[in-house]
Amino acid sequence: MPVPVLSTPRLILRAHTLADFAAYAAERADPVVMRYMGKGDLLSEEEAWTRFVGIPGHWDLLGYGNWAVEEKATARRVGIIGFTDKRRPPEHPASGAPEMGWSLAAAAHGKGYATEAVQAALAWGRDFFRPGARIVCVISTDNAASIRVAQKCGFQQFATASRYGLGRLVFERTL
Amino acid sequence: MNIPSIETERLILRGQTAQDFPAFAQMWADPVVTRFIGGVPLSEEESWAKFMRIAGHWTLLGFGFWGIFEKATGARIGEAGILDVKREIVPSFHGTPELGWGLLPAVHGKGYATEAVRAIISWAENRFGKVRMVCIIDPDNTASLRVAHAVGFREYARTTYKGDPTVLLERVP
Repeated sequence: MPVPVLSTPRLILRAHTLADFAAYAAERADPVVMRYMGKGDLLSEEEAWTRFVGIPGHWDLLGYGNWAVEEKATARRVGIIGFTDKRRPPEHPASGAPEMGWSLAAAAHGKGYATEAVQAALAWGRDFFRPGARIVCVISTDNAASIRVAQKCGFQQFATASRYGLGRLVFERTL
Repeated sequence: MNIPSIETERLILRGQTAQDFPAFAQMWADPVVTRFIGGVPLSEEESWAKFMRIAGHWTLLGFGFWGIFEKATGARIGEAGILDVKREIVPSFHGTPELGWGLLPAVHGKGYATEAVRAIISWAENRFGKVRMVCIIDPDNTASLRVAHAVGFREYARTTYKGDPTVLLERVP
């Protein structure tokens, strides 16, 4: 399915292509980016590829998914953002609603890019999922920068969770 | 991505949609299926991630895995195809088309895997030309080793991959 292209003042959200894999794998091997993801482990090229391949598949199967975030000024891919259905187990507080996630390359941190991208994705999601639909996001308890982005974009924390023994905050908002 | 369908005497190989996921998840939750592939039955969440990877592999690379459906019953009985998963395996076969297959225990012994893999090799030879192909199989998986030999694969190395002993086989045109 064709992945929609979204434009913000400084960013383009677009489909990932094979050419984006090198930038994606570099991000997934960067301790600054991975600090609050999963167990914080850095991904090998094989592990990064395993995840990368799932990105277009999600769009193909469900009609929504994760976009590549491209910086207009440099035409470089600087991150990933989107909605996923992770089929989390029913007992997880984030199960049952589209889940938003985002992550930016270290060089793109601190510029307000995440907020800009999240707002564009939310506007798209409102049309796609329907106005009023509930969405969630899950953020590591210590990830202050991402928690700030979520709060700025209207998410409210409603539950906690844990994975790999690490704390998570679970946020929700309606579109 | 439009995934081409392949028809054999008794089977249809085709791309999979979200409707095929329950049968897929059921297969990968079966310890008999995972005994020689990964070793651990998959949760629904893990199966879903795997299912999405199969679709995305086609979109990114133009080849991948098909669902296998039995003509007589219409039932999904397994999967097979060609993959590039950038395995960190020694000796490396990076860039060489890798074949893989997995069928439900209930249909083992009918020659279905051999029938599907033969058809996939023909498709792969059209796509890539008459090139070398590889597959990796658990040394205790005698059924799969028999399939590999039947379609022309021969062992060329033994190694350990993700902690498990593995046989590397190649099919040289």
